[in-house]
Parts: sequence; C-alpha cells; structure tokens
Amino acid sequence: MSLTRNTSSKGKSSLRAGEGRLAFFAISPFYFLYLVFGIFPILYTSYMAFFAWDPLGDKVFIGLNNFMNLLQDEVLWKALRNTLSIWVLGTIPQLALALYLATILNRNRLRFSNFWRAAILIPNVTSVLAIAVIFSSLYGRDFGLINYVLNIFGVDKINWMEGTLTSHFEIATMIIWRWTGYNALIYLAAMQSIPKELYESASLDGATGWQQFKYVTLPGIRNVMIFTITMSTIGGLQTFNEPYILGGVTGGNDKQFYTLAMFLYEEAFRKFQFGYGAAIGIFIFFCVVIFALINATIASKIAKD
Amino acid sequence: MFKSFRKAKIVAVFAVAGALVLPTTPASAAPVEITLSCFNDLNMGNLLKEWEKVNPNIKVNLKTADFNAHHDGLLTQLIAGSGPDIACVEVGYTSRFKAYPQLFTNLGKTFKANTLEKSFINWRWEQGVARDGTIIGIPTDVGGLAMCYRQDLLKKAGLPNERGAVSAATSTTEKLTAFAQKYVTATGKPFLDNVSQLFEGVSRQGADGIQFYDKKTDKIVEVPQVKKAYDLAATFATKKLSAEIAPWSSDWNQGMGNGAFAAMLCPSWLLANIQNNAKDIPGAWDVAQMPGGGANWGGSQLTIPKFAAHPKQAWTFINWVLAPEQQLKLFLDKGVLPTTPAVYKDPKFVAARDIAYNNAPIGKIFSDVVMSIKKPIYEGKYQVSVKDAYNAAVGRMASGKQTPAASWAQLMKEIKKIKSLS
Repeated sequence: MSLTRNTSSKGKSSLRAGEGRLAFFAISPFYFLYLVFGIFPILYTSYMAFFAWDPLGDKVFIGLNNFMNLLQDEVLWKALRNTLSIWVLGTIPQLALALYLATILNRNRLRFSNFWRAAILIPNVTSVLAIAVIFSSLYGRDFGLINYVLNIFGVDKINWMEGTLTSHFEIATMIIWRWTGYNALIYLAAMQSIPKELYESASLDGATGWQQFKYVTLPGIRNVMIFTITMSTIGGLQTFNEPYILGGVTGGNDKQFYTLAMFLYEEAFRKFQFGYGAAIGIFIFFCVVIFALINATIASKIAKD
Repeated sequence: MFKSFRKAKIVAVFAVAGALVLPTTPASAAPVEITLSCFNDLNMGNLLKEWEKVNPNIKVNLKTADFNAHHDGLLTQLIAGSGPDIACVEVGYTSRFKAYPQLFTNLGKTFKANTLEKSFINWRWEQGVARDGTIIGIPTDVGGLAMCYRQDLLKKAGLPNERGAVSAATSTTEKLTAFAQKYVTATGKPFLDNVSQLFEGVSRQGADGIQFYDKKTDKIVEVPQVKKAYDLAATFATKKLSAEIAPWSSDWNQGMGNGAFAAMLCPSWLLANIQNNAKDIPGAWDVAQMPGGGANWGGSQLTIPKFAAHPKQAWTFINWVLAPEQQLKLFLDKGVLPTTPAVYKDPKFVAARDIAYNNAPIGKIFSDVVMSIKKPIYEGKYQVSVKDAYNAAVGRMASGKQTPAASWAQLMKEIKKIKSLS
C-alpha cells in the first residue's frame, strides 16, 4: 500500500523502495519456511497422487487411478462419516462450553481470575498420551469409573470403543477436554476487547445479564467465533491422535472410529501406498475447502444481519 | 536425481562440519552417545546400567515410543534418510523392513556377523535375514508359547491344577474347549482372557511354517490351520468361555491380578508383565504347555540403520548385549528367553524356578518349546496389514457384532484388497 502511494515523488520513492526491500527481507524467513514446509509438500503431494508410488521402489504414473479407486472405496465414505460424526459430537459442545467458561472468566468479581485463566489451558498443554491413559481407564469396560457409576443407575456394562456411537462419544469427550480451554481463552480475549461503556450503558437502559450477553457480548466476539469454528472444522477433519491412542491404529474391528486422517496414515505408512495416501490427503484438502466455504457464507450472512 | 543431489549436499555439509570440528577434537576417545530406539526397553534396563560401567565411552541413549508408532515412524525415518544408531524391530514387523534391506547396514558384510550365526537358534537367526541374504538384525529374544493359568482358581473350581495334569488335560484344542467349559460351568466365570490372543497363538501352529504367507511364493495364502484357529475362537466366544478383555487394555492388566480370567496364552516376554500385574498374588499363576503343540510368538532384532551416525559403536554394544552371558542375565532377571541355545544348558538356567509362577521351571518349559520348532512362521511384506485384518475379524465376531460367518466373509474381501497391492 504505502509503496504504491509514494511512487509519485521520485526522491522519496527510491528511499521507500529500499525500505520496502528491507521489509521484505525482514519477513522473508517466514515465507521461506512456508515455501519449504507449506507450499512444497502440497505441490509434491499433488504430484505423488498421480503415481503408484512405492517409497523406495518404482514410481509408476497411473493418471487418475488413485482418485477413481478412492471414490469407489467404501472405507473412504465410512471414514468420512466417522470423522463428521466425531466432529459434530466434539465441536458443538466444546464451543458452547468454551463460551460459557469465557463469560465466567470475564466476570469482574471473579476471585483468583489469573489462576483460573491459566488453569483452563492445562488440558491443552498436557501430553496427549497422559490424557489418553486416563480416559481409557475411565472408559474401561470392566473396571472403568464411568461404567461403575452408570451401573449404580442400572445401566449394563458398555464396551465404549466397540460401539460406533459410543466410541465417537468417548473420542469426542477427549477432544472436548483438550480444546475447550483453548477456545475459552480466545473468547475471553475477544470479550475483554469489548468496551466496558457498552455494558454500562446497556445496564443503564435496564438490560438483564442475558440481554447484555445476547446484544453486546455476542456481536462483539462474532469474528472470533467464526475463527474458532473454522479452526475447529479444520482440526476436526484431521482428527487422528485421540482415536489412534484410545482405540488403536486400525480404527476398530469394524472401522467404527476410523477417521480420514487414520485412513491416510494406514495407506501411506502401514501399507506403503504413498500415491494412494496422497490422494486421500487431497480429498481431505477439498473437504476442508468445502467446509471453509460453507463457514464463510454463513459468516457473511451473519455479518450482514 | 533428486536423491543423489541431496546426498551430495549432505556429504558436503558433513565435510564442512568435519573440517570445522576435527582440529579441535582431542586425540583421546571422547565418549560417544548412541541412540537405541525401540518400543520398550526389551526388559534390558539393568543391562543398560551395567553397560555404563563396562564401556563408559559409549553411552546408550534409549528412546521409546508406542509399539506401532515406533515401527511406523522408523520406516518413515529410514525412507527420509535418517535413523537411530540402533533400532529394534519386532518379528511381526521384520518382514516389512526385510523388504527394504538397502535401508540397513548389512551386518554380515560390514561386521562379519555371520560368524555369530552358529551360536544362535537357527530359525530365529533367519528371521533377521532378508531374502537377498542381507543380515539386517541380530535376534534379542524368542517368545516361545505356553499357557499361563491360575492354579489357585482351577483348584477352587475342582479342576486339576498341577502343571503336568493341566498340560495333559488341555493337550489338544478340543480338550482345551472341554476344560474351559468345565471351569465356566463350575465358577460362572470366563476361563480365557480373550479370543484374539487364542487365535493368534493357535494360528501359529501350522506345521509347515505357514500362517498368512507362503515362503516359497512370498504370496498371501489361506491355510486350514488359520481357519481352525478362527473357528476355535468362535466357539470360545459363542460359549462365553473367554472374558473378551482387549489385550494391552487397562482391564486386561487388572484382570491378571483380580481373577477376571483363569488362563491366558503366554509367550515368554509376557511373563514379566503378568508378574507385575499379579504382585499381590505371588505363586497364583503357573505355566502349562501350549494346547495343540509348540509355536513361537514374538521376539525382536537389533538392527543398525544405514544412516546410523555411529555404526561401529552400535555394533560393539549389540555384540555385548546379545552375547550368551548377557542373555542369561536377562533371563534370570526378567524371564526373557535367550536366543543362544548354549544358555539353555547352563546350570543356572536349568535350575531357575520362578516363585511368581508357583516355582515353575520356566526356562525348561519355554526352551523345550523353542527347540521343538523346526520351521518358524514366514512373514511377508504386508504381514502387518493381513494380521490387522484377521484380528479385526476375530474382534467383530467376538463382540457379537457379526456372526462368525459374516465376519469371515468381510475378512476375505479385505484380504483380497491387500493381495492386490504390489
């Protein structure tokens, strides 16, 4: 912007151009890394997807075969269904809970507020493995705490990871546990940027707490909400860690909690079908694009209202 | 093209780094740190401590990851042109790595490992040798296979509980089913831990060394023994003779101590685990022979990846840690079964009685099994995927999600898909 604006006066422009070069130089490390670790892998993956690619052996060009096979592979659709189901179960409660926690943390009269704000992020920085150990013993079929409590209310033992919906539920709770605090902090930061005067005048006008939340807080953090929804959509479509650690690399005996990312991993790194794995990666990429477009449409609609 | 360019670059970098470092390095040998990457410590914790004193100049840095993650990650690392100094590889995964011998130091050519061959169990040694003759790994331990059982629970159920009597009463799979049924009728509790372990063990008893792969053709095949194991698992599942507790789950670990099941198949490397989980009931577990005859399950190899930074030091360590003396120590310490049969004649080995296992002579029991094996199971490139598919089929059937026939049909479809991979 400033570069184009200043080209009118000659003496200044050369100086500015030099500054501009310096600026580009200053930000170049990021773009260099992005080129190496961002752009290059994307292009290379797209290239690989057209080959029958043995990591150490032959690389045979097979055109669109990987994609044709992929779209006819019933495992793909199962993995997509599982991924979406886990995403719905894990994301909606997560963001609602995060919003609720953020409003509590945002209260002026909250004691030890800094402590609570730090504490809420702990699940996110704890090792996934440690959390998984705890979750899998909580959900243990025979000696797990959850089944024990359910048993008091007369519910039979549930083999959580064996069922489709129950395994999705177990995985979703672990995702919720890990990511709620993170989103709550983002919401909290957004809420704190809302001017206090708005609340003051709202309460002078006699608005109740709920009305303040609805007409002041929510519009104030709308952009951030769209950001968190988009980010958790991208994250949700790549769900891998939780099902992998809780239930194993095969995604269950009937592939009941097999996600898209696990599919990619298995094909590429357990069966060495790098080309096929790359095709799955591209499929996931297009899923993310579609969901991001849906998000953007909804977001722009909300913004117009 | 790309590859050779990268290699050239790496060489150049090393050359420059070497030129910078060399003049300042003192002449005396500074301690070298080598990394040993594995899925656990292979029960070698105490040996590693001893090594520190034996050879302080080579420090061994143990890095562990989850079982599947270790083997999957290792392949990725090797393909990318890096790797630890020593990597352990479990036999179930060995076939995958043997398909790519170029990723490993040929221990035969580089370190004359073939001179060691005759001191190891013949078939066990072969498991570390690729089809083209490259020696990629030296065997650390051998599983063998037996049946561990709770002698106290069997006694309570009014069944024979002395190890000879139990072995006789369960000598075939038919007898085992009847025996398990008696226990379940008497106690109302399941007999076995789960049918997936049962399937795994029994499917390995094929006389010709074929489980999922035919050695001659290197192709995936279906053999009667595997179907027999599947049917046996189905019988156990439908008659509720097994507790259906997933292996390696927290319920499984607790079950070893709380009587949730009275028997489990046990390769020797599982002994330390059972013992750990049954600390409160010493002597309750005992060891009988594997129903249906001996087989091998598990064991690992130590390999030196092609890209190891210190292959020589790695070899020095492997040579020491897998020598018969150390293998004997490991057996006496943790019950890990040696791969060097000379140890089996050692008085200490023969005399070893395990208090945790009701004074069972575990050395003799397991070494008899191992020495009775003539042909080990041959494993091919997609062994892991085939095994995953079979395990899932057994699981679907055992959980009641599908009938044994429906689950088998789905399995055959999946196997066909794996067969189509090159």
